[in-house]
Amino acid sequence: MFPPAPEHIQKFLRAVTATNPGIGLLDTRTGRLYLCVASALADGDHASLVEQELGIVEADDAAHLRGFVIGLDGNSWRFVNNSGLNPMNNRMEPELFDELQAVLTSAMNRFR
Amino acid sequence: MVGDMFGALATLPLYCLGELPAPDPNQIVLEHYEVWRSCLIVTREIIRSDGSVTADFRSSLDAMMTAAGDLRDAYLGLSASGRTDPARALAAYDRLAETYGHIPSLMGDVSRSLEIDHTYLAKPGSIRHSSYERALTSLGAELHSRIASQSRLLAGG
Repeated sequence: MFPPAPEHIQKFLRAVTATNPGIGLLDTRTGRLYLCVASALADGDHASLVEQELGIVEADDAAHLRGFVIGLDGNSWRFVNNSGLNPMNNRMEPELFDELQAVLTSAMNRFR
Repeated sequence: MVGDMFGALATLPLYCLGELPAPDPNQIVLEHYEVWRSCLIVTREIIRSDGSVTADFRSSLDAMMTAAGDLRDAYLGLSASGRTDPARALAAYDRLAETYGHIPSLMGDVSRSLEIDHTYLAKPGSIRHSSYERALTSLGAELHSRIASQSRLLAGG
């Protein structure tokens, strides 16, 4: 998996707060991760992030995408495996979720 | 505004059920409601200043204002009981799902009374539409699962 570019991570870190969570996206075909705060997205959700970053509109074209949310719990990150993009009751595969948490935590901690 | 109403399904339920930490989840719900309410008021005032208010427009906008209030109250109900009383939270969820179900038709009425198209509404088959449906379905499933867990605990205790 590949975290977002450093400038995107820095921009995200400046904007994320306890009441302005991160909306995250994993493209399982490319391994790329995308992050944006909810307030910077048209509707504040994963569908907006998919449209913005990948230009995909139809659900049939989005089967390879997974979503998650990042909140702030004091000084720690709270990753939540929950998105209307995910196939199993809003959850993505646990091994994907574990991996993306490790990749993003490491990438974000570099700039904190 | 309609986009934000549905987009809120990505994060508000997580705050209400305590999966996302927040000092005051109710405040987040109220901030979303203020956005919805403000958009409806601005729309009403623009049309009023244009001098073209019809009875149809007034009643459809009133219905949307009521729906926005119903969503707010349902989310506040979820927030009040989601972590402690899932059975009560399920009643709030039912109200939430029912209100979300009405919004496309209500917004269709607003659009028709203004003689504008309503292509901004999520279409079946789109990511938006399927995300909203999945988010609502999974929220209901989560509450049922919490009720079952609580029942098992009570039976075992």
